[in-house]
Amino acid sequence: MEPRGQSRADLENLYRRYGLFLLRRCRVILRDPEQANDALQEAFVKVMRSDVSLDTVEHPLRWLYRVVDHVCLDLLRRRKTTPTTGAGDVDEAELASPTSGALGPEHAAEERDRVLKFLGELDDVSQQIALLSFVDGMNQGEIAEELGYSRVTINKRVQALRQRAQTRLRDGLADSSSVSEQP
Amino acid sequence: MSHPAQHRLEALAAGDADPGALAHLDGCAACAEVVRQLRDELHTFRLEADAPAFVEAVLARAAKAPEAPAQAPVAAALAAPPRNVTVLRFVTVVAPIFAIAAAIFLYLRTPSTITTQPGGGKEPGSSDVRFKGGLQVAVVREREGAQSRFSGEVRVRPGDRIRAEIALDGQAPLTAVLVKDDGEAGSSAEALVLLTPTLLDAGVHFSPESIRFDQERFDGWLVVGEPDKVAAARKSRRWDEVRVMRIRFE
Repeated sequence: MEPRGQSRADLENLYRRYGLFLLRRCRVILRDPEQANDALQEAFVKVMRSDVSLDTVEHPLRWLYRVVDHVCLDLLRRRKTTPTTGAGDVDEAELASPTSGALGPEHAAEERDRVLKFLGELDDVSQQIALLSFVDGMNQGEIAEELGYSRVTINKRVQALRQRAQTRLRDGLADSSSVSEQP
Repeated sequence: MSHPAQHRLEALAAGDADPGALAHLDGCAACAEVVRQLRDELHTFRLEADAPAFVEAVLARAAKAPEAPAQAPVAAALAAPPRNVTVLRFVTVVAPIFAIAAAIFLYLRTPSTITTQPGGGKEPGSSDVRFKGGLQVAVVREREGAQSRFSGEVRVRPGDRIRAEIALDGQAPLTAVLVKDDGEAGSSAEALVLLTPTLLDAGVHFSPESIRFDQERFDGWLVVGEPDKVAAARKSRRWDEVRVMRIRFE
């Protein structure tokens, strides 16, 4: 089967150029290296079947991320349960960035990790906001612009995500504590 | 200091042009270091990655899975919140009753109650929203800081800003424009484009552009569809092949 929109060489070049970042994104969202590889292949199938020439796309990587996000979020929906294991398989240092706001990269990575653990439980818009905020490191103004909501709405949603992550953290610590107290 | 988003630094490291992010690197050692590290990692990846094998796997995967217009999870996600049992019950039990009632209502309703039609292209008795295939359109209106979502007629006034929300269950090249009732695309055609022709993937998308209304009265239509069909519809003022939503000035 020959690619429709892109030639085989185009796809190979695309993989060499952006494959590292796309695969990382799949791994961070899905938290499962094997599923991440599958998701990336599926995303490339979608790219291959599209008639879009990436030369004409203003921000190719951003466009590819949208394709990857759709594939990964679909997989999460099909999985229905949120993975709570396998986090160790993802190299958290891979996404450390100085663009993650007031928190240092280490704290930002921890927060992102906590939010992504319940990504599969969120509605579509919250999933998008979570990815744009905690994975892409976009500020609330940029997210508001991207999704068409007001900054106030985005701010509320992001705060709700943070609170939920904190609650999960507390619950997790409480569970650990209760387990350790058992003889 | 405000830093560029991570994806912009990654794109920069991959070799994409981004003058803004590039200029930022001159004054930000932290971001410059991140980009340097990303470039190093990318260099290693490119040396080690077996791109031909990956593409071979992609092609094999594509051959195994014939192209389908819609996949069940995507269609379900677009149709209704999948995890909400109450909504599902509504759809399967109550919705048909509503549909029958709505059909009777529409049958009994006099055609003269819906007579607005730009250039005579709109059939009497049709609704303000047209549906075509797996494409659904809504408008997000921002007014004085509050946002509202409309799937039918949208009323606007000076200061309002609108953006198109487009949901589709398969890939499609789409464009979205605002068209005035008088047959013109407005004082500036470029200013009324919400979405330039773009291949959208299955899912929900928001138009990257928004339109802000000023004092000039605007009554017209949001037109969404394949670029050639939108262009044809704008000329003919017939909306059969596109999706439209009514925009009215308050």
